[in-house]
Amino acid sequence: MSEFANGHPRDRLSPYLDDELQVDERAAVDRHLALCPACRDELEALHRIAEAFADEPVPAMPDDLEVRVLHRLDLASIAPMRRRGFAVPVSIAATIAAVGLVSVLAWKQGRPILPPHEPELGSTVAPAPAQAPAPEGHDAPPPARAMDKLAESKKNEVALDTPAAPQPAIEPRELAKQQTIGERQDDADAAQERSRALGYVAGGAGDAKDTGAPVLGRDARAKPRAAAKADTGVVGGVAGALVAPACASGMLEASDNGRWSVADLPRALDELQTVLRAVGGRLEAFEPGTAGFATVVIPRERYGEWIRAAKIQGVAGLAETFPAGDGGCVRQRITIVRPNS
Amino acid sequence: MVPAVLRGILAAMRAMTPPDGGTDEDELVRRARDGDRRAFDRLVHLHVPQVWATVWRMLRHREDTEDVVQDVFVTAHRSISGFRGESKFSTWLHRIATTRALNHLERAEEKLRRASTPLEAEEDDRPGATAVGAAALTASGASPLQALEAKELMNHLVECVKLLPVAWRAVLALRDGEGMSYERIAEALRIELGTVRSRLARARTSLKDCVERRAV
Repeated sequence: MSEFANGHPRDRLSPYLDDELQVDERAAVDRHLALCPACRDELEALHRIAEAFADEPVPAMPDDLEVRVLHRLDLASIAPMRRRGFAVPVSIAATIAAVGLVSVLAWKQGRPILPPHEPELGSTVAPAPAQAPAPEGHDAPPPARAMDKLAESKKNEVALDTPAAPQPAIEPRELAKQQTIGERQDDADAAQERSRALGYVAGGAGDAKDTGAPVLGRDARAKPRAAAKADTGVVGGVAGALVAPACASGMLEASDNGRWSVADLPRALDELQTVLRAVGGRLEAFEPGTAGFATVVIPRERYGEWIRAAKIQGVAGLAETFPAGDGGCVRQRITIVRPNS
Repeated sequence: MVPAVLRGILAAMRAMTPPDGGTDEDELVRRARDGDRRAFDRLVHLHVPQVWATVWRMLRHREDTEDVVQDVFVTAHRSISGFRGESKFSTWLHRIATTRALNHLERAEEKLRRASTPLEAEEDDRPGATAVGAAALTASGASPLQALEAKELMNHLVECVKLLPVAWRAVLALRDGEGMSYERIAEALRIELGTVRSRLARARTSLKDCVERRAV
C-alpha cells in the first residue's frame, strides 16, 4: 500500500527538488522514486522548469535607473529631512518643486506669475510655502537638450559644483545633527547634479517628436501626465539671484518677440526654465491663455547664448541682434501656442 | 554606454562612503535608520540590481519594472526608521518589492490585459486536488518537455509565466529567481511556510503542464 495519498507524492516533488522536506518525508519520497519511473520523469520535468526559470535572462537594468531612484528620493526628501530637525528642505530641486506649487495656485487663478522670493544660492532658508511637499510623481525639470548644444558651442559658464567633501569621522547620529551648511549644500548640489544628469540620458521615444525635447524614459513619460494633472506653474526663482545684479544697470526691451509652438505646455515651461537657468536668466512672468505669453529676462552678455538655445528648443522669430540702448538685462516676450493654431 | 556625466556622479556617490566602516551593510542600515541619506544611497547602490531582477521576474514589463523599482526604494526610505533588524535588510527589501509588484499586477488593467484563459490550477487544498495529475503520472511515456530544446523550452516558459496567478509568480521569482529559502520567502511575503511550499509546487506543475501542451 502506498504511503502517499493517490499513490504518488506529486505535491512533494517540488519541495524535494528544493531540499525542503523533513528527513522522514525525504526518505519516503526516495523510496517511491526508486520504484516509480513516472515520478522520476515528473521530477526531472520539474527540475527543467525550475532551471529554465532561473536561467531566463533578465533584461539589463537601465544605466540610469540608480540615478533616477536617487532623484526620486531627492524629491521626496522633504518629509525625511524633518527627522533631522530641519524645518525646510535643502534640496534645490525640492525647493523649486515646492515654490512651483505656489505658482500653480496663482496660475490656476489666472494671475500672472510674479517672481517669488529669490533665495541666495547656498542658503538653507526657503520661502514659507516650501513646507508643502512636492506633488507625488513630480520630477524636477529635466535639463533641455539645448544644454548639449551650449556645451559644444560655448563653454558653459554655469559650473557644476564638485562632489561632496569626505565626511568627518564622527558618530553618524552626531553627523546628521552637526551637518554644516556646506555639507547640506553638497547634498543639494548632488541632487541638482542628478537632476541635470538625467537630461543627458535618453530613454524611450514618443514625446521627443512633439517638442524636440529629451525624453527621460518612464519618468518623463509619466511626468507630463502628473504635470498636466497638477497644472504645473512656473518658477522664476533660483536663477533670479544671478540676474538681479545685472539688471540693476537697466532693462532693455527686445524688439523681436519669439513664437513657440508646443504640444505640452507644462513640460515646455519646465524646459524653458532649464534653458533660462543655464544662461543665467529667469522667467519673469507667464500669462496663460489660448496663446500664453512668457516674459523672460536675460543678462545682456548672455543674450546670444539664449537666442541660440531658444532656437534649438524651437522658439521661432528671434533675431541675434542686441536691443539698442544701455542696460544689463534684456526682457523678451514669447508667445506660446499649440501646434496648428 | 553610460554617459560620462552619469559615471562621474556614480563615482562621486561611491566616493562619499565614510571612512568609518561604510561598506558594512549593518552599519549602513543603522546609519540610514538614523537619517543618513548617504548611507541609504549606498544601500540603493548595493541592492538595486537585485530588486530590479526580482520585480522584472514578476512584472515582465520593462517600463513598469522601472516604475516599481523606484517606488520600492522610495517606500523603503520612508519606512526604514521602522526597520527593527529582525530579518535581513535584503529580506525586508524583497518584501517591499514583492508587495509593490503584486499591487501593480493586481490592478484591474493588468487583469484585463491577461489572456482570456489564464493558466491556473485550482487554489484547492483538498486531497483530491491532485487526482488528475496523479492519473497522468501513471501513463507511460516521458514528458514531451524532456524532448524540448532549451531555447524552445524557454520560449514556451516565458509565455506560460505570464498566465500564472500573481501570487505564484512571486514565490517563483524569489525561489528560482533569487534562490531564497522557503523560510526567507515566507518571511518576505508574510505567508506560512506551507503556503510557500504549495504555491511553488502548483506554480511549477502548472508551468510544466502549460509548456507540455504547447510543445505537443
